[in-house]
Parts: sequence; structure tokens; C-alpha cells
Amino acid sequence: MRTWRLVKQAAVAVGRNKTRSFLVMLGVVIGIAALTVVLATTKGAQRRVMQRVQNFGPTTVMLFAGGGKNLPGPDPSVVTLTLEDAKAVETQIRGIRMICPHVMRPRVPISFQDQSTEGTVIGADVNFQESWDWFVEDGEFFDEQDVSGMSRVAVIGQTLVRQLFQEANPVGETIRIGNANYRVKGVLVAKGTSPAGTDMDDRLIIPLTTAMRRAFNTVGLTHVRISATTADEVQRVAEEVRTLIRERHQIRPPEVDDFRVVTPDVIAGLSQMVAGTLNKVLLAVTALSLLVGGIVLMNLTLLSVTERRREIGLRRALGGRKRDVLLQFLLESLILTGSGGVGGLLVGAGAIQALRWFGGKPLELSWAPAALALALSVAVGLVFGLLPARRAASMHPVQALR
Amino acid sequence: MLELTAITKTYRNGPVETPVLRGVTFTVTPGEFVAIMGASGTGKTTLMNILGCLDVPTGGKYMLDGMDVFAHNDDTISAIRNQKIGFVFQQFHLLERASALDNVLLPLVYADKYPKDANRRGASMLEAVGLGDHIHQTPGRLSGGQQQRVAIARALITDPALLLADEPTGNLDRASGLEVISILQRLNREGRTIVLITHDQHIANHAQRVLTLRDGSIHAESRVATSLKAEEELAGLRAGGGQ
Repeated sequence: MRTWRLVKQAAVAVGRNKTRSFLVMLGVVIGIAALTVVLATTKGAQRRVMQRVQNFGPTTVMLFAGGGKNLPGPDPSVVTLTLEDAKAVETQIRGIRMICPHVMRPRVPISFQDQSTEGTVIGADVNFQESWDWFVEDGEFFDEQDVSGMSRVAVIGQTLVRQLFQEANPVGETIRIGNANYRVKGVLVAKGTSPAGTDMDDRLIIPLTTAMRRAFNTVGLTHVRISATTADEVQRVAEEVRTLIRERHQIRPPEVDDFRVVTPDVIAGLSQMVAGTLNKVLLAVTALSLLVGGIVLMNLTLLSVTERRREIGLRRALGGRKRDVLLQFLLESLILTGSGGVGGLLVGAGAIQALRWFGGKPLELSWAPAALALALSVAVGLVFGLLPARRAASMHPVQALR
Repeated sequence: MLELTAITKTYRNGPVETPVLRGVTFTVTPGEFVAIMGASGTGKTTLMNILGCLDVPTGGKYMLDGMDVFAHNDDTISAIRNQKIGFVFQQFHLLERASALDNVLLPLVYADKYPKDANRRGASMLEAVGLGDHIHQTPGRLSGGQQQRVAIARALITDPALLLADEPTGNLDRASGLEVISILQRLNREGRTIVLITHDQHIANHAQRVLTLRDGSIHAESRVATSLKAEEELAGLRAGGGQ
């Protein structure tokens, strides 16, 4: 109860000295606003990374044909990765649930009656659906017979459905892929954007055999999707795949690999680099503003303790204990930095909204960072308010009143 | 009510010891109005600080309303100040930016129990000192005499055993001073125990008993045969043209 009365006294005192209050709050507002933006971008980036890893598949190891530094798109000109390599991986390495070999060709002309467009053609095995966790929603996927018989059948993505068929049902229709006709067996569920940022719904899946022997006449796979039994196995499997393929391709480091193994870690690493620089700057702004805000708070409060010497003496004379005076001054600091923190959150939220509008990074404001920001501003009030509050409390009433 | 026994106070400044009070002993009975007189440098202020429990004596014992004040720690002494002593200072010591009412209620911030009817009580305290119309005024808009009356209302809000007035008229003109003294006399008639500290013989003569302090001890003690009546003086003053 007495504490509540002291809170009121503190609040009134803060209200009476608007210049001091404004100056103290300014630093905290800037600091917390910067921190809010940092946390929101971090959180947004994290979510994006997680989403990418999720899309990629947390138990997935991708084996791509062709070397190179960046995340490789499938390179049709490299033909060294063969079906035999894929078979060897499947039979010689432990901890693999399944593998799905692919041959991929981008921007292949596709047409239906008078509608035409381009699509990404992928030759795949029958286990494509399980391997990618990506299923047909209409019609059905091609089966073993289609693969062994090298049937000209296709399962198509939503973008193609929209472009070629509009409202009509594509299942059972015949479309032209390159120079040959294929029957549409099924339509895939919409998948959205790939980790590399391309549309995954412009794809057509045809049997691997059809692709290799009839459509593209090649022995080279573009990529193999390897599913490990658990996420813990991913690194080991990736390492063993690398060793095995090097052996089979007779590559001895430092010779450059003609293939690439990509794990969820690589995807996460690529995505995380983006967030870095801006956040470092903003974190420095946060630390600096909070420090400056704290020092301003401490100095102005020390000044205020001197100015209010008689008030302190009076409060002691009227029955205020040392700790009552301490608490009042500490509460004044806490009210200032606390409301500065709330103000900073609001400014930060506004900045985030503005950044969203200008189409920047994905940003996310949530309660945990807000709580952290508030805790931090309260901590600034405590740390930098303590010294002045103690000085006020330790004044001798007689000397203070003089 | 109030009993001081061999109170001493010695200030130390390095090796130099300056005795200010050299054994002050006196008693104030309940309902008494006692003036403590002394020129500056006689230890008057030091004695006032000890009576107000604002400073701790070097030796001696101080019983106030049945409590051995300096046998307690600082927190309890603060509580004693809050509950048992009402201060009226020479410089008023009001919070400049708070209303008269908020000033009057200030001691209740530190009281153990905050009365439910605090606002009403504060207002009636202000009415009792003739400031019923100035409840929401800040001190800056009040005259010195009015400010001191706010301070008296503040001193009474906790219903203390002792009203301790330190040169309450020191910063006031004669009429305002007499008004303040007349309020103190009225409170005393109503049963309030008052200790008034002053250097002014005329002001002291409004009390029932005068203790004279010299060189750090009670030099003389005299009963005032017929206490001056501030109200009458005030009436005379007004009749005489306000000088």
C-alpha cells in the first residue's frame, strides 16, 4: 500500500519535470526502437530459414550433377552422374530411407491445343511423391508400368494447369511436351516457391525412363534426392555420398568435384547470411542509445537529487524511511525508462510496418522480443537509477532540510 | 509526554570536538505549550533536531509519548516522526508544485494506514486554519502566512502527540506571525502539546512556560504569569491601522 503511494508520488514527480523526463526517455526510445527492428528482422529471417529448411526437407540430402560454388541449379550439360551412381548410393550407404533420381530440363515448350507456354520437365521415379512429400490432388501419379514401358504420360503443376487449361479439367487430356504428345495423368498440389526462389508449380513430372531414353536421350542424371532415415543421419549420409561418388568418378582432392552434395545446413547457412549487416549496425545503435540514455538518466537524476535536496529532507522529516526515498527515486527512473521502452516499442513497430510497406525483408513482431525490450529498459532504469536513488536516500535529513 | 534526560551532542571535525549540547534535561507534560528560547549559537537548532528525532544525540535519553526514541533503529525513528511529531518549519517546506491539499496529505504517504477519508480530513484541516477556499492552490499562489498555515494543517494530519514549531514566525510579517501563533494557541487550548522554538522573547511569551537555552544547557526556566493572547494582539493591530 505504501509502495503504491510511492508509485503515485514518483509518477507525479516525473510529470512535474517534463524536460528531464523527455531527455531521459529519448535515448531509451531510440534504443528500444532499434532493438525492436533488429529482433523483428532476426525473427523474420529465422522463420524464413526454417521455412526453407522445411521446404528442402530436414532429412534430405541432394546430390546434384556439376560442381561450382553456388547452390547449383541442375546442369543438363553434365552427364557424369548416372543411374548406376544412384543405385550405388542406395545399396552401399546405410541410413537411407529412399532415393529418387531425376533428369531435369528447364524451359521446355509445352502446349495444349492453341495454348502454349514453357515448363520445367522432370523425369522421376515412381517414388517421387513420397520422396518430395508432394502429391497429386487430381487424377493419379504414373505407376511402375508407365516407367518400365516408358509411357508418354505426365503429372503437371498448378501454374501449367492455369496457363494451359484455365478452368477446364486437364486429367486425361493430351498435351505437347517438346515434340511429343503426352497424356496428363494427374495434377500436383500447389507447392509455391523453391528454396532457390523459383516457381515449383511450373513443373511436369514424367517417368524417368521416358525422359532418359525418349525425351532427352541422355545417361546423365541432373540430381538425386536422397532421404535419410532421420535428421541426425543427414551429415553422415552426405559425407559418405561425397566419398562414394568421388571414388566412382575417380576424383582425388584437390581435384574439383563434378557433383555437389547439399544438406539442410547449407540451405540454412545461405539464408542466414542475409540478415547479418543491418542487424549489427542496429544492435550497435541499441547498445549505444541505451548506454547514453542510462548515463543521461543517471546525471539528470543526480542533478535532480541535488535540486530536490529539501524535498528529500522534508519527506524524511514527515516519516519517510531511507528505503522509501530510495524506492521513490528508483521508481521515477523506472517509470521513465519503462515508458521510454513502451514508446520505443511503438516507434519500432511503426518502423517495422513502414519497412514492410517498402517491401523489405520479412519482419515479425512478437511478444517475446517486446518483453525482452521492456525488461531491458527497466534494467537500464534500475542500473543507472540506483546510484542517484541511493544518494538521495543516504542524505541526512537535517543537512537536507537546511 | 516528553522527557529529555542529560541530552548531549558533540560534533566532531577530525580531532576537534565541539560540544553543542552539554546535558539538557527537561520535561513537557501533555497539553502544555512550552517555548524554548535561545540566541543563535546556543544549540537551539541542534536541540530542535533532536526533539524532532531528525538527529541523534551523543548521549542522554529522550522519551516521547512513552517511547525511548533513540533506542530504536532509523526506520522506527522515521515512523515515530511520522506518527508522533507534527513539524512546522521556519521555511514552511512545502512542495512547490503540489496543491495545498496534496501538501497536507504528504505525511500520510508514509503512514502505516492511509485513512479512507484522507481527502476530506485534509480539507477540514485546511478549513480549520482558514484556508477552506485555497485547497487546490499551489504554495506559490499563497502568501507566507497562508503557506505556514498549510504547514500547520500538514503537521496535524497524522494527529501527532507533539507539535514542534521551529521559528514558525521567522519568515512572516507581524500580523501573519500573530495569526500563526493564534492558531497554535487555539490548538493548545484544544489539548495539543506544543513546543515552540524561538529567539524572540515576545513570541515566547505566548507560551505557558519558557525554557532559556544558553551554552548548550537549560539556563533558566520560567512560567509565564499571563500568556500573551495573539488573537487580542491581532485585533488591536487591525484596529490600530494594520501596522
